[in-house]
Amino acid sequence: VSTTGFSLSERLSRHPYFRDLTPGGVEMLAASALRRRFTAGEVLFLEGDPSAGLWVVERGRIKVYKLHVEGREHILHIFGPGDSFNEVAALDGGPNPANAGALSDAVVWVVPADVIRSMLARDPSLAGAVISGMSERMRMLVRQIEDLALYAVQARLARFLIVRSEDPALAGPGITRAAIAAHLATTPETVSRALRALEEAGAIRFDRHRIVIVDLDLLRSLALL
Amino acid sequence: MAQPSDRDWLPIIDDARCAGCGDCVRACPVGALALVDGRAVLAHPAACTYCTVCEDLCPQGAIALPFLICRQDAGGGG
Repeated sequence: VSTTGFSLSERLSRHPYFRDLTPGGVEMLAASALRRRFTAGEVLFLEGDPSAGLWVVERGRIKVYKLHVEGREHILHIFGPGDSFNEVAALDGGPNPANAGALSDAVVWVVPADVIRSMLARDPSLAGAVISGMSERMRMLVRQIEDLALYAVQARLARFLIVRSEDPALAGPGITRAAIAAHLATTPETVSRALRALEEAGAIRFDRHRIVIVDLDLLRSLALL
Repeated sequence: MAQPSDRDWLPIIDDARCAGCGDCVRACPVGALALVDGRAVLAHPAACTYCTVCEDLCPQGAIALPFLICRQDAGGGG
């Protein structure tokens, strides 16, 4: 508990990983935490360093970022009061996956990784909550990957359809979705999904054995042309 | 080269690949397929709606439904 009205226990008890923890367990986590102050521009931790633990922002704004080889910074997330970050490194004991720095003067709590991990070993309900929290996050990441993959395939497919429709000599006996997939280095299922997405967007329609381009301008824009 | 007519656009079943499992026959929503001598055949081609269900589920990849890609204003090429 701090003088600013921020309660680390209250914040931790709402965290997806810890919300099923007993109040005593939450208090134990909070009691182990260290409160640290950073001034604007200061680095909290560096990518590759051993993880100190789970971080919770009390005040200020924290950026989590990657550095390109030439020193350019790519910000992945910005966290504010009540937000927590670096969960994965705190749980698996691995190195920090990215850098963190203070965008403003900030007050941040660190729940030590070894405290979290020893509680995990003792409390099956905490382990269960962490597993379901991580599973939820993994589902989200898989969806993101699917979306990225589909988006890329959709653009390539749109280009493919435009090129094929431009040259009647290519029409011949037609082309199966499996053959389109082979051309685009993807799977027939992904091609089917991407075709449906193009149809739902109104760029193409199916007319029995024909894939008819009904809005070429739209298809071009979906092809990023 | 002349384009094939609509009637020529039908599922192509590769006899050598077909294992005769009958999945496509059971799944075809219009009953266009049948098992003859342990192989899937397009028994009622006129019924086929080109829905692609058979191609999607064939575990052997023995059924192919080629598509013609065309533009609306180009008349569909057949």
